[in-house]
Amino acid sequence: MIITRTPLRMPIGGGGTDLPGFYQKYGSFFISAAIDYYMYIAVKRRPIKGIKVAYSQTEEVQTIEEINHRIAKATLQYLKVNVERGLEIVSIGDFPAGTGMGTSGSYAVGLLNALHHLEKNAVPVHVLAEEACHINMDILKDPSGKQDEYIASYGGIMCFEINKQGKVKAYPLKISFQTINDLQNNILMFYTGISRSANQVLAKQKEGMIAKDPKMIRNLQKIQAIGYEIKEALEKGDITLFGRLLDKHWRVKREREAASTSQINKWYDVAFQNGALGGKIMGAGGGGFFAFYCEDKKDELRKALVQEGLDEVKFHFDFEGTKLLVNV
Amino acid sequence: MKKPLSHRTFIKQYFDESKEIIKKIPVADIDKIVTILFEAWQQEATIFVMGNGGSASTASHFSADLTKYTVMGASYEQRKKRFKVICLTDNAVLTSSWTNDFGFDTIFSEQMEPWIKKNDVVFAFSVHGGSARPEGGTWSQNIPKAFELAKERGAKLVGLSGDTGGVMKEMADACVVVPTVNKNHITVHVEGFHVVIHHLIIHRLKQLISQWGK
Repeated sequence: MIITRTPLRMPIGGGGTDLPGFYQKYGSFFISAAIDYYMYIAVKRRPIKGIKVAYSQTEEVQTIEEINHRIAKATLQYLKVNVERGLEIVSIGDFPAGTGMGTSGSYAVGLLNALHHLEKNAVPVHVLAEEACHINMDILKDPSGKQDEYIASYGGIMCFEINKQGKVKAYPLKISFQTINDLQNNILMFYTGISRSANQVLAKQKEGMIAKDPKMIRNLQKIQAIGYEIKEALEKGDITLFGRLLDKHWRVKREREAASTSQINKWYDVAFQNGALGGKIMGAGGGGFFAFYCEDKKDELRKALVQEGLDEVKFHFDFEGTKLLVNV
Repeated sequence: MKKPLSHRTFIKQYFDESKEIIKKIPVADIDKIVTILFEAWQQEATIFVMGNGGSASTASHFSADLTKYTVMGASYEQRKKRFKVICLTDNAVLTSSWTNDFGFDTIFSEQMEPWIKKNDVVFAFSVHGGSARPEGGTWSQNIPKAFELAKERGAKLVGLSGDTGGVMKEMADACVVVPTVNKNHITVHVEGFHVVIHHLIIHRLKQLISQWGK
């Protein structure tokens, strides 16, 4: 049996520019951090025929084509996994799908990692990331970007550049141990209880791209510029500036109609009035997890948001990326 | 009285023997060992390394090179996967403790006991391959004992040996026996060539790792 563990992620800056509609014209730069909440994937050969896929539902089928789980089906087809001897795939995620933590990306990376090891053909993290992107973006035609798959593979707090041809360059953010600690202390994460499909939000962004919406492009260019400012602030150790840049990012992202609902805007305003310098909704927006940056008034902020019905979730960064836990 | 050998004559003789050994070294066995180790790296299996005396020092040196040297040509991405190596000759406390209480033959198997599992690799250096039983008494009996435990658990057995190859050659999945060209020079040549082969192996693995995923 093979078990892999793949981190979920928190976007730090420049998110949204990782969509092909943007990077194919302008290139992309974004920073993303892996956190210590995970997608675990167990894969096992069975002594009897048949495929079992267990997630929020359980499927028992005879052929790959019959599988309903889109990513599992596409990944098995892509790798041409031999299922004559039978196969079982079980996934355990710390958070449900649709919470903006990049679970689909982590699932694809974790499953690829597990299946490559099962086939005794392990590949490096950049190959895992690119294969996962290929599955989600080209095969399944999901309107998503490359961020989730890449940070899930690499782990850590990473900078990613995508050129117009779609080639990704990855390198770690040059951040001090002290700044990492400060970030972990000052970023408070809350669950909104809302889960939604990123595809709906992102489909709008993609349509905007295809229609060559100059407003959308200007918006993402602003986001990109803030991404570079965030890199500079964090490498200098100026975390207060980082907090303010999150707010700047938020105000720019809010201009995109699909990215936030009036309820989300209301929560942000409550947080801002209660000590948060800035914050962001995870992933494509529209629900899921909220992160706020707060220095001195953490208790007030917690109280105010708990009153609004949000749950706090503690986190640390993950520096390992997708990892083989068991191979027996 | 026989005239003593000059330094120059001995040096030439020693190198001539070395050349002879290089010609006779079984290349296919080295090939097998590289393949087993590269597979173990891919699958993140653990490698246990051992040896006695001079071979203990080779075991320590090889362990360090396997861990570090192999990723020196690797990219950031390739370096995320490393050899997992446990050197059984580096722990003087456990070695003396097992010897003191249960005998010298237990030092390697008892150190491996909590860790070793299916598909791991046990890598031993031994001049005689744990041979010379019964006249050899308990010479290198710690290696055959470690091999027995490894076999029980489904691990792979690899050895670098000399002389007849001993028990090691019989049990191992891959074993290089350094050929004997002069019966009076067995130990020096075998130990010397073990170091040569160890460097060949780690350099080849370094090449493979730096090409991985390209």
